[in-house]
Amino acid sequence: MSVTGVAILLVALVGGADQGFEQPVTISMVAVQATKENRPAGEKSFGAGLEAFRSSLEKLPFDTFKKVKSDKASAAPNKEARFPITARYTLSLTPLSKDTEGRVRVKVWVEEKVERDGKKVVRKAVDTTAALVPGEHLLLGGPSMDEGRLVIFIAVEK
Amino acid sequence: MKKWQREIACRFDGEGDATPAVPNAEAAAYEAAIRQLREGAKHALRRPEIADAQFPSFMEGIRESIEAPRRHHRGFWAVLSLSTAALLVALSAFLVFSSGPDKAVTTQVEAATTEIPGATVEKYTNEDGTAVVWVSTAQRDLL
Repeated sequence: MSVTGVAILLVALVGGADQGFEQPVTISMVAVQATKENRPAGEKSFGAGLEAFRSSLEKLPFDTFKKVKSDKASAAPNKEARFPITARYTLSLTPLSKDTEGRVRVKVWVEEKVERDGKKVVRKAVDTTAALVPGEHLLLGGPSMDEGRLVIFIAVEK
Repeated sequence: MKKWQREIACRFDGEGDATPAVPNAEAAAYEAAIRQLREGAKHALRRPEIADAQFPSFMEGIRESIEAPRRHHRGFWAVLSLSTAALLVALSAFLVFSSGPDKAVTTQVEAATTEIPGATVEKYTNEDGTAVVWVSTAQRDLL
């Protein structure tokens, strides 16, 4: 085997950082309202449909969690998928690429409608880019929601 | 060669007639020349011998030849072989470490920002391995 041949093989193996990404991916999301209800120490309440997220939610400094919205949609590469959560918040997501380890790079942001100087404006409460392992969740949280905070779980389905 | 010269040569080698065919000064000179030639040939055939006085020098030469370091041939092919071996090792290591089942692939947050005035964003991985992006805002957001 010649040195040139080995070098070409190495370059081919290392060079394929981003594989072809043409098929749509399925995105699932669950939005949660997290509040403090002054429950006894150590006691936390999880609403229906949040069993799968319990281990992540109980680490947050809140004692009551209620599901607000759950949804699932197919998102094509470089096409924006939108998930309205409430009248105030909308989750938007755009798949960007797929890396050699199977992770899907996505741009995710949460739009928030607010009033400023008597006018309704939209701002990005959270704006992030992440590489998601299919089947694993990304947690976005912190924006205010009534008396609590908004928490969103996002996942690319396998 | 003349006939009388051939007869002298045969007689010199012990062959033929013992009496000289042409007993004169020319024949005697020819015979003397042959004798000198044969003596020189015998001398040339003598096998070389090492005298006792020469032996230390002879052994010294052998010792130097044995102890002298071998010449290293760093030619093109040697370098080529070494390079090929190194590339094969690198390729093997790359394949083993890039596709091994133990390699942990995790969700990774590359960047995170917010447009909420006064808010800060932190990204971390919590204890159960979930990637988290958290926006910390004041009690009442500044609009």
